[in-house]
Amino acid sequence: MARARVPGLWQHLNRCDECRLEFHRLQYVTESPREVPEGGLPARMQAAMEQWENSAEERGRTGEQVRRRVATEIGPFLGAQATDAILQTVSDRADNLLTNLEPVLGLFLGARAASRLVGHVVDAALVRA
Amino acid sequence: MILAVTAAYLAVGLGTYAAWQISGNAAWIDDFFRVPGSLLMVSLSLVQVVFAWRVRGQFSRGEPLYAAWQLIALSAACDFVATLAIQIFSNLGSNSRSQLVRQCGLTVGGPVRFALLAAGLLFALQVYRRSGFLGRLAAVDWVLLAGAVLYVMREFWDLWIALQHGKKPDWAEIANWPVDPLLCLLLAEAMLLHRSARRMGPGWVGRCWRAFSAGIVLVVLGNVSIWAAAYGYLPYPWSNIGWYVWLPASAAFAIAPVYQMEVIQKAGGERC
Repeated sequence: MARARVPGLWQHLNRCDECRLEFHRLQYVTESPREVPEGGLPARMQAAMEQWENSAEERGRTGEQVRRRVATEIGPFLGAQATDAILQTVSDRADNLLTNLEPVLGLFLGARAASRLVGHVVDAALVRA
Repeated sequence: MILAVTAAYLAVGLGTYAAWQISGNAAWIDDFFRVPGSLLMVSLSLVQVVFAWRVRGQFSRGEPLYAAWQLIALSAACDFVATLAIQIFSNLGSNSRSQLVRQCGLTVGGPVRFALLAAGLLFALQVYRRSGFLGRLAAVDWVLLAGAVLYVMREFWDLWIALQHGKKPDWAEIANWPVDPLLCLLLAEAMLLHRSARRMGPGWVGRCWRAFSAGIVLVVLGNVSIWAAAYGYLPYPWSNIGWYVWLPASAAFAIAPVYQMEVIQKAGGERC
């Protein structure tokens, strides 16, 4: 997606954790070499969301599983106790995952590195899992 | 790499110590510290400056660790300049000039360096506090800190007695008076950083701050060994063992920014 074409969207994504998490999920699904439906971006996004929801249900993704996967990715960086403490505050839907995780990582690693790490965690622990 | 080279140096250094004790020829230990030891100290302080400056560049202005690494990089630069002055340049030129270079090196590498480092580590502790993982000092830490404070008070008492008896300190000596109080402050920070890193569990983020803690503890030990040797509490030739503390201390300060750079690179996707 060209950033220059949708500046408002990027500004919003920078502010809104929930949408950024959803964007990471959609980005992964839409970039995957799967069947691309006709009808432009809205149809593709709709299909990607359905695909995400279905795959989540199929795999029985629960908050506990999400927390375990995130812990596997983050634990080596922050340490087991710190990771557990942060993930205890994450809800079952993991919608506050970025809100709780990114600021702590940002403090220790800097905002740039933390953002890249969170992107990787979302891919590895939420999207690809 | 840094740890392996330092360990190899220490093994060779202890070998030269044994050779000196067996042969009675002090040239073994003198030569070791004059050339290979000096080269290692200069190299380690250079690594510290380069990596601390690179780590600073990984943070944006306004982030607490930007300020921390800026101060740590300046402290590392002071250490590099001081190491060059003491280990290399003070051995060149006339006696009075080399003495001046050495005194300048001791001041830059002492109070100036430690003040900058203490300020930098305060920002690091602020990060631990903001993250909610600031540790608490254990009973043993308080005992060690009390020992360090008593040591500083004893030193100042000795100084007071000497001044009462007509001692006339020169500018270089006065400039170095803040070293021990600063080392006390650094020891407290080192213990807090160690407890905080421990509270988070073993992770890549904490390794850097643990390395700083180890470096500070070793510098304090080295400082105490100098005092103990000067006052006859550590008799010759055991007093020379204290010289070996400075090599792992320099290695700890050099490896700390390397660890921080490594964890940032891993977070950025450059995985091992």
